[in-house]
Amino acid sequence: MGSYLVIARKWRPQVFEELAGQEHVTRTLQNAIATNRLAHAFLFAGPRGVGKTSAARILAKAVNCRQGPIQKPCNQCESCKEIAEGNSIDVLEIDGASNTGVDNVRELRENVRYLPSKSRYKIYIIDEVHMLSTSAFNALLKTLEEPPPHVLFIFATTEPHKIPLTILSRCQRFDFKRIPVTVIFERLREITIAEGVKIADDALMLICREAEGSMRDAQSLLDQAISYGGEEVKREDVLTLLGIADRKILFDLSGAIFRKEVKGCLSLVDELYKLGYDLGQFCRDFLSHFRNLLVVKLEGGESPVLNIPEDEVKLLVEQAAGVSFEDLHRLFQMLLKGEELMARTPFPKVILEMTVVEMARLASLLPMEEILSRIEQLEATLSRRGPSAEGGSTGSKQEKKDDESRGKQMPAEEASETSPAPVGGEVGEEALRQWEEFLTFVRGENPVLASFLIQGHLVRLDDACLEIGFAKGSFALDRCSERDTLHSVEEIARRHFKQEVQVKIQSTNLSKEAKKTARTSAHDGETDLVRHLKKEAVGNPVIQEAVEIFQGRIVEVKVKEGS
Amino acid sequence: MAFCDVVGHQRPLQILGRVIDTGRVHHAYLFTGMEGIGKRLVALNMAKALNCVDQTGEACDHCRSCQLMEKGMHPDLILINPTGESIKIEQIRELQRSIAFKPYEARWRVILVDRAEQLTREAANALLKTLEEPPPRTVLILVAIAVEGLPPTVLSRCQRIRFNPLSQEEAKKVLIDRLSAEEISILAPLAGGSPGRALQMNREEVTQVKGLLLSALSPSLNQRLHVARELAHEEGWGKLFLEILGGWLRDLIIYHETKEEGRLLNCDLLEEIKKVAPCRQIEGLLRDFWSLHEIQQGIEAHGNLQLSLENALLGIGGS
Repeated sequence: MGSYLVIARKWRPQVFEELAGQEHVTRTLQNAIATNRLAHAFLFAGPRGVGKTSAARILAKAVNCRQGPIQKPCNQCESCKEIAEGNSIDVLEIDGASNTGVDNVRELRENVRYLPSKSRYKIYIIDEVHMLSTSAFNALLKTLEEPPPHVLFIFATTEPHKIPLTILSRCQRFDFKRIPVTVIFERLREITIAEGVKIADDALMLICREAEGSMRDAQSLLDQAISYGGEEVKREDVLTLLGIADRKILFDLSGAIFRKEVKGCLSLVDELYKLGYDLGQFCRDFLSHFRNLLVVKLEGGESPVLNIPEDEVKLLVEQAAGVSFEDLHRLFQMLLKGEELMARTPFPKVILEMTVVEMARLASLLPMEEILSRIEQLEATLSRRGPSAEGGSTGSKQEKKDDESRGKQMPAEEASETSPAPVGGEVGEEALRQWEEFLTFVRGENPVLASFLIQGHLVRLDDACLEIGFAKGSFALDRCSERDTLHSVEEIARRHFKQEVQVKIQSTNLSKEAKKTARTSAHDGETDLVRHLKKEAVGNPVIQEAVEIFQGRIVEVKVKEGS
Repeated sequence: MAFCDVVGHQRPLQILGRVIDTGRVHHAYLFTGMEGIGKRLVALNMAKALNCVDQTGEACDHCRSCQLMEKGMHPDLILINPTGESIKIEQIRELQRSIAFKPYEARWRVILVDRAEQLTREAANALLKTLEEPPPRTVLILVAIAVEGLPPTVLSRCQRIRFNPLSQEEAKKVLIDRLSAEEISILAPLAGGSPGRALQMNREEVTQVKGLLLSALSPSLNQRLHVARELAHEEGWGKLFLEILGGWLRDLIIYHETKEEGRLLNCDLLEEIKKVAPCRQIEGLLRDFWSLHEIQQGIEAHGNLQLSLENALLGIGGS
């Protein structure tokens, strides 16, 4: 068995051009070399496996190359070869994570003074530099600010936020980006062709996706796939290797959930487990499946944020059609909760089982708009039947009974005075809506006035006339009957309805007994406004979030005093 | 002991087998999977197979190399275990010093880092350079419970090989030499496919705790509080109880929904499950199940054990 060099090492980029996906870095560095404006300290930051160490080594080669400093190191001369093999005496690659102490830095400072033995520059590459201790960093400050002219520092780290600001300000910083999937794909394709390995495009794509923008991850996976699948790597091999379930099973499971087949769901989980899939991985895939369903539900199949094959989009659209957005969203959140738990529990299968049972048993929610419109309808029927709708149930019989009881409740002498309160009953829905809007408008204009008006109820509202009823003897009636008040109401009404409106105030006759109902009557006026407010409140994202957090429901919406 | 003696884990063994056959040995592997299912065993066998004189891709078990490895005396098999709570940076530094030399005699020097999730942040970072470019003829095998405990920089340098929990049958096959059939039937379902866990559990304890669970089903709050007190007093019972309770609720839910006995874990509690399940609502059961995990997390975060148990016990058995 010869010593086999893994792909990531064998194919480590040797010139700037090979450094995939980091053009913003390579171009700057190359130009700096060409114009002889090279800084003396660099910091390469970025996620794992995107080319920081490789860039550092290429830079070292470029400045120390026999023909250099040159934009493209020759990789032929002694210096380049030594650096590539890691045994150049003038390029010191230091593992910052193992040599963390101030003593290591002191030693480094001692050596910095001496001229390079045979190259142009003495280059210190400190990898994982974020692990240096604070005192080590501080010991480095002076040297880093004004190093001897023959010294170049290159730091590489995945965690730039852990590096002191004083160090950062002394370095030229380069942020390496995650590498786009297509770029990784191209690079891997190059490698497989050179290695003489056959691998299908879709299989290779799976690997590239899994790597999440890290070239080394992708190369490790490719290595693994090749050692598993041999000279010809099939899609199934990669799926097996990654522990990714076939996507069909995602659709099967979501289908079973939508059809509320608990047994079917559990059998699918059993199957997954028996086939040896990684359930945590499956759960993550399932989450993104639901994310796709949500996207399809919101934006349709053409959405640019979907990056899945076309035949799957069709299936997604079909599945999403049968489910409401609200349900999908709630299912997504249940799944999210399960996924979080799975990472920690020793029994991932049980968690997945319970999650799918809960999902399959989810009682359908009505869309919010439908609930609201139903409430409105209900309220409209209630208010049409008048303030004394104690029973609250519908049916003419009931109503008749109501009238009788009202008759009984009202002492005879008062009953004769004026028509009883429920005039609002004759007011149409449209008028009520306008009244509601008017109240909201008044609230904005004159809150004090509004607080009186909401105690009244609408008697009549047409083009030129607004009649408001108040309970007899109430303070609100006295107040609103005042000339000044009446004027301001008229004034506001004119502005609201954009025409002259005559405002009339009526006293509605109510007995002691009926005063109770007057409260209801006032309530009726209130509900006009409250209904409006409720709609506003329920639609408010903060309220929705609160309801979500407390798993609660809205019982009552109260109008704040004086508002 | 060789690959063929390992129970289960066909997939990892297949992958590793091909690696050895083709000679494309990566320099760093990461084995992940729950505790007590045989990851370390596979890693040791990998070391043996890589170095066996016969070079058949399997360990022959009687050559000098295999025997030294079996005894843990092979000079080129380096084991790193947590000292105390964690694997410390000094251990990694020492490792780096020792691997700077060539292997003594082995074709492949194997470094086995057990419980790699216990690497301190410093130690993990110090290992990075070695993980990326170790000296020639050196293989590192990291063994960990889950990838979540390791920094992404470590993960990206390893080939990950995932080990699944064993199936009930496989777990029983492993346990059959060490436990009686009766013990297996009680412990195996609780171990969740990990023979190691089953072996750690005490049959007596499990039976007693299960008994307590049944007595806690009584409607009397007093009785339940009493059970909580008892559980909190015995070392380790609280955690065990919550695990059993989780399995019990899971079985109730499954039975409630499917009415199929074959899906249940706690076969010994079948009668009770049949009795209780129809009296409960699915919503309540699910609520209990999820709240149980919150309670478990609370205990892990050093919440008061008895209070947590009381909370759990007062909650269960509601509507």
